Formats: sequence, C-alpha cells, structure tokens
Amino acid sequence: MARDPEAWSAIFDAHYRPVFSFVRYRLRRTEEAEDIASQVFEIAYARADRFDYRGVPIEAWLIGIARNLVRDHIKKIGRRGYEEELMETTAPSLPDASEIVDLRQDLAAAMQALTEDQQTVLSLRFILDKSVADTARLMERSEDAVKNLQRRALAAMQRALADLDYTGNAAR
Amino acid sequence: MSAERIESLLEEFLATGTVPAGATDAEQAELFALQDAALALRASLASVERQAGAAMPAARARFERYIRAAESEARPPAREAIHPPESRRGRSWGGVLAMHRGLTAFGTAALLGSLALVALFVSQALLSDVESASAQVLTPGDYVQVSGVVASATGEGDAQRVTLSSELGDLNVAVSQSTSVVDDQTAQEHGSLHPGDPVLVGGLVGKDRSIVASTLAVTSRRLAPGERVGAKQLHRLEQALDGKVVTLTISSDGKSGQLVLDDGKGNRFLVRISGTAAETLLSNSATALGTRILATLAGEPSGVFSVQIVPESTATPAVGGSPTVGPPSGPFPAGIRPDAGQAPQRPSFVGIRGTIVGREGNVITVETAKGTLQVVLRADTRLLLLESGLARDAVLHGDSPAIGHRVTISGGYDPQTNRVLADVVVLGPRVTR
Repeated sequence: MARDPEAWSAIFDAHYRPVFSFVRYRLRRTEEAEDIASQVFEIAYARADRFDYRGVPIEAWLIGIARNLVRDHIKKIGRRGYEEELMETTAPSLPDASEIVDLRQDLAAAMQALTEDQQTVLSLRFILDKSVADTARLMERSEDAVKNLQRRALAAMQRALADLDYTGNAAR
Repeated sequence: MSAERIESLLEEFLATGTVPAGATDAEQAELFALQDAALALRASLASVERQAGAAMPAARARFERYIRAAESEARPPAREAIHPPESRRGRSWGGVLAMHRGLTAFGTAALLGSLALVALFVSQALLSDVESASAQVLTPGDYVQVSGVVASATGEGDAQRVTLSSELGDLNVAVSQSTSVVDDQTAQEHGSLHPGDPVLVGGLVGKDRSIVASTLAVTSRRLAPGERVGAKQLHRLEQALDGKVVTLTISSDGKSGQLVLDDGKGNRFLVRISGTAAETLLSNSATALGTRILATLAGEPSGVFSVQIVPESTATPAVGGSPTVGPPSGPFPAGIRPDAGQAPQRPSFVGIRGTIVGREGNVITVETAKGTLQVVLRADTRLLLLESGLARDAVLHGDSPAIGHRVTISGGYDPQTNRVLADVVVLGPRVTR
C-alpha cells in the first residue's frame, strides 16, 4: 500500500473530511484548514514507508500528524499575535458574510482557551463523533482518562463561551 | 459530588440525552452546563462538513499532483533515455531529464542561451506522452472545456460513450440524458454524433478522467483529428506568453484552474490560473477555447498566471464566439438557441450576457440586449463570482438571488423549454440603474 495511488485515493476519500473537520475547529480561516488538511495527507504519503500498519489505525496516524501540524501552525501564528488576529474576526456575523465566518468565531476563540489535549478530546468526541473507547485509543489514554479530560474540557469551553458572551466579544 | 460520579453521569447524559435518575439538582445544573458546551460545538458541525465537502475536490487535485510529483522524483532516470528519442512523442520525463543532464555535462552553453532566449521556465520535463498530458490537465472534480474529433461513438440515445480524439489524447466522454447536445442553431438528438464530427465538450472530470459531458457542441463540418502535442508545465516566465487557449479547466470552487496554451509555434504550455483569470476568459466568450491571450505571472501567487485577452485583428473568430449583444429585437424564438447566428462556423457553446432580473428556485431570468430568457442553474454549474462580491453558497442556495448583477453564461440549450442550461456562470458586479 505504501505507494499505491489507488490505496491512497481510498484513504483520502475515507479520511479527508474528518481530518479537515478536526483541524478546522482550531484554526481561524477555512483556507488554513484546507492547507493543513492537505499537508496531513502529503506528509502521510511521504512517510508511508515508516508507518507500521500493525495494530495502529491509520486514522490515529493521520490525526496525530494533524495535531502536530496545527500545533506548529499555531506556534508560528503566535509569533504574529494569534489572539489579536482572532479578536479582529470575532464580531457577530453579518447576514451576507462569507463562508469564512460560518464557523462561529466565538467557538474558535473559545477553543484557543483550552489545552491541546482538551481541544483534541472535544474534537474527537463531538466533531468526529468518536466513542469514549475510540477516543481513548486514538489519544492513547485510558477510557477513564478520556472521561476526565472530556469533563474538564467541556467545563473550560463553557467558561470560555460565557466569557465571550456568545457574540465573540470578550465580556467586560 | 465526586469527579468520577459526575463523569459517569455526563457520559450517560450525553449518550441518552436524558438526565440520569438520581442526579441531584447541583449535578443536573452541572450536566446542563457541560451539555451546552457540547451542543455549541455540534451546532456548527453542518457548517464545517459543508466546508470540508467544498474543499475536497481541490484538496484531492492537490494530493494527486503531490503524488505525481513524488513519483516523478522517485523514478530513477532511464539509462536508455540518454540516447536521443525516436520521436518527440516518445520522450519520457526521465528521458528528457537524462538528456538534459547529458547536455549539461558537455557544458553546452548554447542550451542555456536558448533557454534564456525563449525566457520560459518549464517544469522538470516535457509532458509529451498524451496519457501523461491528460492526467496532468484533467483533475477529477474539475470542469473542463476541451475540443476534438469524435473517433467513435457507441451506445444508443441517452447512454452514449464517445471516444474523443483530442490534443490531450483519446478521452472517454459520457453522454447522458442530462447532456445538452447543440449545433449552430439548436439542440440535437443524442444519437447524432458520428466519427469525424468536430465537437466541443464541456463537463466534469470523473475519477477515471473520463468526462461526463454537460454540454456538447457539434457542427456538420468534417475535420481530420488534429496532431497531438504534449504540453509543458510552465512555472515561471520572464515575459508574457502569447498563445491561444486549447483547453480550460476550472476547479469545483471556481477559485483556480488550468489552461493549455498553443503558442502558434508547435508548442503547448500548461499553466495554472486563478479564478479571476477564468472569469476574464469566460466573460469574453462563451467558450474560452480559441481565445488569444497573454499569460503573465504578474499580480498572482507564485506559479499562478494571470491572463490578458488579445483582441484578434484578423477575421479568425474565437471558438464559441461572443455572447449575445446587439439591439433588442423582440422575444427569443422558441427552438433556436438564443445566440444563433452569432457563433462562428465551429462548434460553440451557447453564450448569453445580460442582467439577472428574476429567480425562482434554480431558474434565473436574464435580461439581455435581445430580450429576456430563462437560464437553468444545474447542480454542477460552475459559479465564478469574484467580481460580484457574493458568497458561493448564498448564490447556490438562493439566499442571494443576485438580482441586478451582470452575468455571462455559457452552456447548452433545451428547445422544449426554450431555456439555456448553464455550465458556467460568471457573475459580475451589481448594475446601477
């Protein structure tokens, strides 16, 4: 499978949407998510020879690559002031606004208040609709650890949304 | 309440949607608060999935290009390719690379001189093999306009398979009930295609790079199949490239595309273009093919070309002709394509230009210089709307009916309803009256 274009076509078809959705919630712009989701598959293809398929779901591998890419991307943006960029776009959506603001910007901003693990558990559980058992496997944690992380993540998310007063503007 | 208990209750609450029996008031309050956060995430899921679906065709094309490039780099140079190939068409990527290395080893300054002279920077090698050419140009999910000659037509009525002899090689074209087959005057029966017919195909590229035709334009003239010439991928350019468009593709989101250009000297160049460039081309004519342009790298991201249309001073008309213009002359007669008489003696798509004055569902009403007619937006109609300032989804779903916007449309024609069937819609800015 390592370099079989047809196999990779099938992998792309099966996993592009989940990978895109996984990264989309952590990034401000659709274009950023498009670029990083594409990079995930390019890196996976380039490293296919090094991937051990035995017992490791390919989805976990792709999500792992996506996590690293998002982390690096946010670090890069952080140098330019990610929070400032976020706040520039957290105004309430206008009726005819473009699809870039389809994702509620208050959610994107709230996600930034979470730790990376908290973001991951919420994305897997509520965006990709994974069970606790699947999430545990993908995150290489115990199920109890996932439940704990999930509760803390939801609580942090709820606080962040309340602080943003649901319009994307920081509460005063 | 312990952490373990609330986690257990939360899991039950999320799974069943009902508050677990025995949960205290305080526990219930916490569960509802946690659920609010989860619902907020799930509420935007449809939007994200829509974005993922919209991004997928372009991402697939990018991934396929990546794989092709990776395979090309990984392929060892063919030893035998050091020898001059038997014919131009027989060269392989590896062969040309090897030949180039051989020439470089001899320090052939003339080669560098000639490269500087033409001022073109071509990708790793020639795509002279027609299979490679079609693979390079035709990306699944893209809309394509390509011309050629019918080599064979099999099947009956609404389920025909046409082999098109084109500059990209032999292409499989599927003609179905949803395909509009038009000649210079009106629509034709699907079974009217014969070997030797020059045709113009507009449609979507399938996974196997066959073309699912949405519109197929024919004429009664007979032509011999043209010479197949491989295209060279052009990444850099020091001066404008003057050539005619022989193939156009547009990505599913309308934001990018590719052109194959004929420089009139026997060369074909493959260039990436922006959605703006595609708009420029299709605002000028219902069919981009045959349009003479200057391609430059100015004003676009790296490797993406912008285009400038060169007015033809000679009598040679562009394939497809100009969209309908001229003074109003009453309603459009039923059964005759609205631009009849405007198109040159070559296969051409139906083209109209005007202002949107109404919309009902997926049918828009367009006021042209010659009268008002209706246009059907198909599910796979390409929308180019950078100049309009409108959002794609809003236009597609009717939230922005685009009333009052200028529009240029190319596509097919249904004589039964006297409607144009849109392949590509270029929306311009709103007209101020």
